[in-house]
Amino acid sequence: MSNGETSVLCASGALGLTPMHPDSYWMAVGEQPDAIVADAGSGDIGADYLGSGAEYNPREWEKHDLRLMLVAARQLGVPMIVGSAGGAGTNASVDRYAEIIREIATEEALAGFSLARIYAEVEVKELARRAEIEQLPALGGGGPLRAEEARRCARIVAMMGVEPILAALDRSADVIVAGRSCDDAIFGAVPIHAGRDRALSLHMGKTIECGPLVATPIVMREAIVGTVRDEDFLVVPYHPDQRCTPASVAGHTLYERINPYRLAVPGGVVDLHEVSFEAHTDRICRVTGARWDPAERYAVKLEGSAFVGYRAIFPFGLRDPLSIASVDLMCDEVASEVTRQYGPAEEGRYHLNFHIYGKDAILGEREPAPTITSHEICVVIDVVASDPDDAKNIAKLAKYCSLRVHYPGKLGTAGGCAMLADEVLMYSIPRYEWALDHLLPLNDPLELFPTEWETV
Amino acid sequence: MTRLAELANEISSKNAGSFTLTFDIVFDDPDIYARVKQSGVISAEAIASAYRMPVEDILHVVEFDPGNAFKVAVRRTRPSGSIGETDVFGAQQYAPLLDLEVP
Repeated sequence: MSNGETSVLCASGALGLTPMHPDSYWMAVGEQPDAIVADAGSGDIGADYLGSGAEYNPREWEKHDLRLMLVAARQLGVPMIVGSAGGAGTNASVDRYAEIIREIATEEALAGFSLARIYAEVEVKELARRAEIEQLPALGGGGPLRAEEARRCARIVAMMGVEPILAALDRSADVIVAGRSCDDAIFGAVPIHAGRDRALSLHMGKTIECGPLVATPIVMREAIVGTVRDEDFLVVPYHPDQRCTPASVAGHTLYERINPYRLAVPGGVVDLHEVSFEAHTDRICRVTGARWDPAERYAVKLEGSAFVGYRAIFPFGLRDPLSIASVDLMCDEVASEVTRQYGPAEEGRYHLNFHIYGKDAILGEREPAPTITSHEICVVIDVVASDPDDAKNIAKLAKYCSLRVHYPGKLGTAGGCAMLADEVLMYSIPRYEWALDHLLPLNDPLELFPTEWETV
Repeated sequence: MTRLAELANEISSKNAGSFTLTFDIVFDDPDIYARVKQSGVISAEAIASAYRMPVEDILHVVEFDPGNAFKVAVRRTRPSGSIGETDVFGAQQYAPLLDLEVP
């Protein structure tokens, strides 16, 4: 650290997803960064984890990563920040991370540090009440939030901005565990707290939030440091084979964002119309040009997950060219037998989907390839029903029908499909779906995000 | 004509939020980027046609000169992970872009 710069070590772009690689991490720690930060969250993991509260990662991997972070942060005496605990950023995950941190503190004889837990869940009833009395705007094309949309949700979180983290840093938090949070904000918080430019700090945060994905070639779980200075920031890789080039860093600016010129965060937009990426050295990239464009009204993004039923899955394969050519007919026949026994899917008792790998299982209706060219294909029967037994039994029925269904010219009358096993392989899996895509305006950026303090 | 896959250094797809899919098409060589940009091949109409989707499903096509890159945002066919999902991260949705022909 020097007075002219503030550096942030990204310990992991996805804490606990796979364990961190320690060699490059300790090299980066040796450079004495001003903060050690990791993001644990992603909306990509789907709505199931937010809805069910199931943990996304193995506890032992999370503990591995939290141990590396805590030991180094206490050694250097710099803040440690983890955002979107557990993947979905629920209150229970914040508490679980805090518990793991206490365990590590005991095991490593690290004591006398302050731990701030910042929560991000929104009370379902409270949000429904607000939706009844005010217009909560949609992020995409939809209309304002309807109270019943909120009430459908099993759990709702709001994505916190930088302010709750800054408030914890104001009170000299040594370790911050945050619920659902904007990843740009958790990485940008310490530089902003040190008085660095907000836009540069947040753009730096966006740049390093996925760790080594910003460098080339891509390797997993290696350390990246972002250093914010007066007019620019630097992106520095620590794995010896990785380089942060203008192309790799610019490419990553695009990652997971809708518009590369406008990075929306709570409270405003980081405007990148004047951005520039230059080679500082052959492996360090220098970035300039981010500008802060404040929003008229402070708002946070809501994420809500609603229960839709239980899932059952059965995969089978086809090798006979005539079977492959007849696969759509087969699936139609199977679906009509399911309809005979369980009524039409439109009545809502169940959903039945066939994912036909080798045909269009990935792109669906957007698949441009007109014909199947593979010598073998896989069909995945995918059932969701509100009754878990219905889901399992429909998958079983569909499995048996797939074996017996007839189509013109069929020679293999003893069995029409190759079963991976003669049982429904996955069932009783709770299924949730994203139920909100809305913003919640706040009068105070801290109002939704209570912080609990303790000394470990 | 050259396939886009032979000119670009990165062609990828990913969710941006749970309701939108984005494509990144990145070039190392600014001259090649300029050539593709000038060709007009990466347009809402061309992408809609490559995916057999209505052009209204394409939210925007942005030329990102500082990164020699194109950024495309399209509507997901369904919110990420909902019933019938085929690609939770949206990570393999870029494939039809590989075959766009650049003059």
